[in-house]
Amino acid sequence: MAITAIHSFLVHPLKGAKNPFKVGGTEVTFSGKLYDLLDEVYTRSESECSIPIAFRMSEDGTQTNRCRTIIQDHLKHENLTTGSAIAKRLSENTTKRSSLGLLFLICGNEVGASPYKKLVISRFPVNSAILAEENSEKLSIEFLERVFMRSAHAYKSVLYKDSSIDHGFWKGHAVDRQVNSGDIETSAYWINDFLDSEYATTPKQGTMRLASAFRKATQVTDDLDIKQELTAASILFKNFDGQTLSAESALSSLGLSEKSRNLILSQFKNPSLAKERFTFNATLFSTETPYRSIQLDTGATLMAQTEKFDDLFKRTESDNEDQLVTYSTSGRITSERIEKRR
Amino acid sequence: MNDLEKVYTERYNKHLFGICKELEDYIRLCLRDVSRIDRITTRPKSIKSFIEKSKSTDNAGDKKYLDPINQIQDQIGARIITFYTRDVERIYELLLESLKPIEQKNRIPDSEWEFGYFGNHSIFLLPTEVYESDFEPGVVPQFFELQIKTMFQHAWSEANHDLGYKNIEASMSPNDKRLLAFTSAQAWGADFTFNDLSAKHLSDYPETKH
Repeated sequence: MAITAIHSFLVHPLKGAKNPFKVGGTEVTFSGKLYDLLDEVYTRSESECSIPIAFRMSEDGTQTNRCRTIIQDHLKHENLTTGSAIAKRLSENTTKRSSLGLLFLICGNEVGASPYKKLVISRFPVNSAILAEENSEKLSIEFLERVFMRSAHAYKSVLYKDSSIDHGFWKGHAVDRQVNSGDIETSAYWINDFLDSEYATTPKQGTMRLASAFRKATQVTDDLDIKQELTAASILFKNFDGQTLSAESALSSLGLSEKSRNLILSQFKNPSLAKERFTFNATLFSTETPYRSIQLDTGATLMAQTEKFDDLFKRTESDNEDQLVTYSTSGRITSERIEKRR
Repeated sequence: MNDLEKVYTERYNKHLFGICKELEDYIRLCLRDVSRIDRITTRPKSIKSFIEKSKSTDNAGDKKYLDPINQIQDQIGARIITFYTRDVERIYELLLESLKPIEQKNRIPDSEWEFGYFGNHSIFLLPTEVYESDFEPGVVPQFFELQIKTMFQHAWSEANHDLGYKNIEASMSPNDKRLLAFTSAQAWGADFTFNDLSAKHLSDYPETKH
C-alpha cells in the first residue's frame, strides 16, 4: 500500500453561518511522527470503519451526488484546492455543538491483482489538555487549547476504495463513535449531512439477515443448551430496537456461549455480513424470529419454534366473553430448570 | 479475443451466474408477501451483448463507453413483471426498504403524442447478500439494473426487441413505425383498462391512480 497525498484542514463549525468559509489547509509531508500516526489511521481504516454506507441518489433520480462529486474530484487531483472543497462541505454541515475539528484527507494507491484507489477521511475533534514537562530542577505545566485527539469519543472517519474513480466510489465504510450516543444531531451530521449518504444496509435488510441466521442455527443444532440460549437471545434482542449494531457486536454484548455465538455466525454466507452495522428493528425481528412465545396473565409462558407452534400447542377459546384461552400439549420431558429470579 | 472480452468472459464464467441466482433469491425474499407478480427473473449480460454494447457510439459518433467493465451497469439484470400498472410503483417502493438505488427512471416516449417503450428502470447497488465472499474492488460488478414492467409492457418490448427495432429503424416505412406505435398504444390501453377494473373489482385496490 502507498499513501500518495495527505492534506489537512482546520474545519470550523459554520452550519447556517453567513460568513464565507475561510480555508486553512496544508499538505502533510511523508516523514515524522505525524505521518506515522496518519499511516496507522490509513491502514487501520480497513478494520476500524465498519458501517457500510452508500451515497444517496439525487432527488431527480440521476446518478449524481454532490459529496461524491467533490470526493471524485479530489481523488483525481489530490491537491489543496480539491481538498478544500471537502473541508468546506464539512464546515458547512458542522454545527457549533460539534465544535472545531481537524480534517485529514489521505489518498493512496493499492497495487495487486486488481489495483484500486483509496481515500480515508478522518476528523479529529478538538480538545484541551495539560502539558507537563519535567527536568532535573522543576516541573512546568501548561494548558493547551486546540489539541486534536483521535481517541476521543467524537472521532469520525470514512474509508472509500474502488478501481474506477469516475464510475465507482458509490460505497464506503464509516466509523462514528457517536452513533449510539443518543445525540442524534451530532451523530447524523457526519454520515447523513456531510457525506450525503445513508447506511448501505437497510434496517429491514440487516434485521432479516440476522433473524435468518437465528432460524438456520435453530434448525441445524440438536443441542438443547444451545437451543435454549438461542431462545433467550432472540427474546433479549428486543432491547436493541433502534440501535446501530452488527450481528457480531450484538451477540458479544448478550454474553452468549462461544458455541452458540459461533453457530449463529456460521450461518452467514459471507463472514462480512455479520460485521455490517445497521439499525436494528425489533418488531420485524420478532416476526422473523425462530421462536414464537405467548405469555398468559397467569404468568405462564409458552414457547416453540414459530413454524411448529400451532401444531405443538392446541388452543381452545372460552365461549364466554372473558377471553380465556386454554393451551394443551404433550411430550416427554427432556430437561427441566429452575431459574433464580433476582 | 481482446483484453476486454477476456476480462468480461472470466467475470461472466466465474461470478455472474452465481450472483444472479443469489440476487433472484434475495428479491423473491423481499417480495415474498407481495401478490400479483407474474415473474421475477435475473440474467447475466451475455458476452456477445456486452461486447456489442461496449462498442456503441453516441449521435456524434464518439464511443459511449471508455471504461466498459466499470461503466456498463447492467452486467446483472433483474426483471419483475406485474399484473397492473399500479403494482410497478408499489413494488419499487417496497424494494427501497431492502435495496439502495443510485438511479431511477420511468422510461416513457418523449411526447404525449407518441407511443413506444414504457418501463420503470433502476440501477441498484448489489446487496452484500449476493456475494459468497469479500472481493477486492473491480473483481465483481457493484450494480444491477432492475426493470419493473407490466405484462403488456413486457410483451410489447420483447416483440419490439425481437424485431430488432434499433437496427431496422432507418429502413422502416412510416407506416411500419405507426404500426409499432399502434401496438404500444394497444398495450398501454389494456394496462389502463385493467388498472381501472382492478380498482373497481379487487377489494385490496381501493384507489385508482394513473
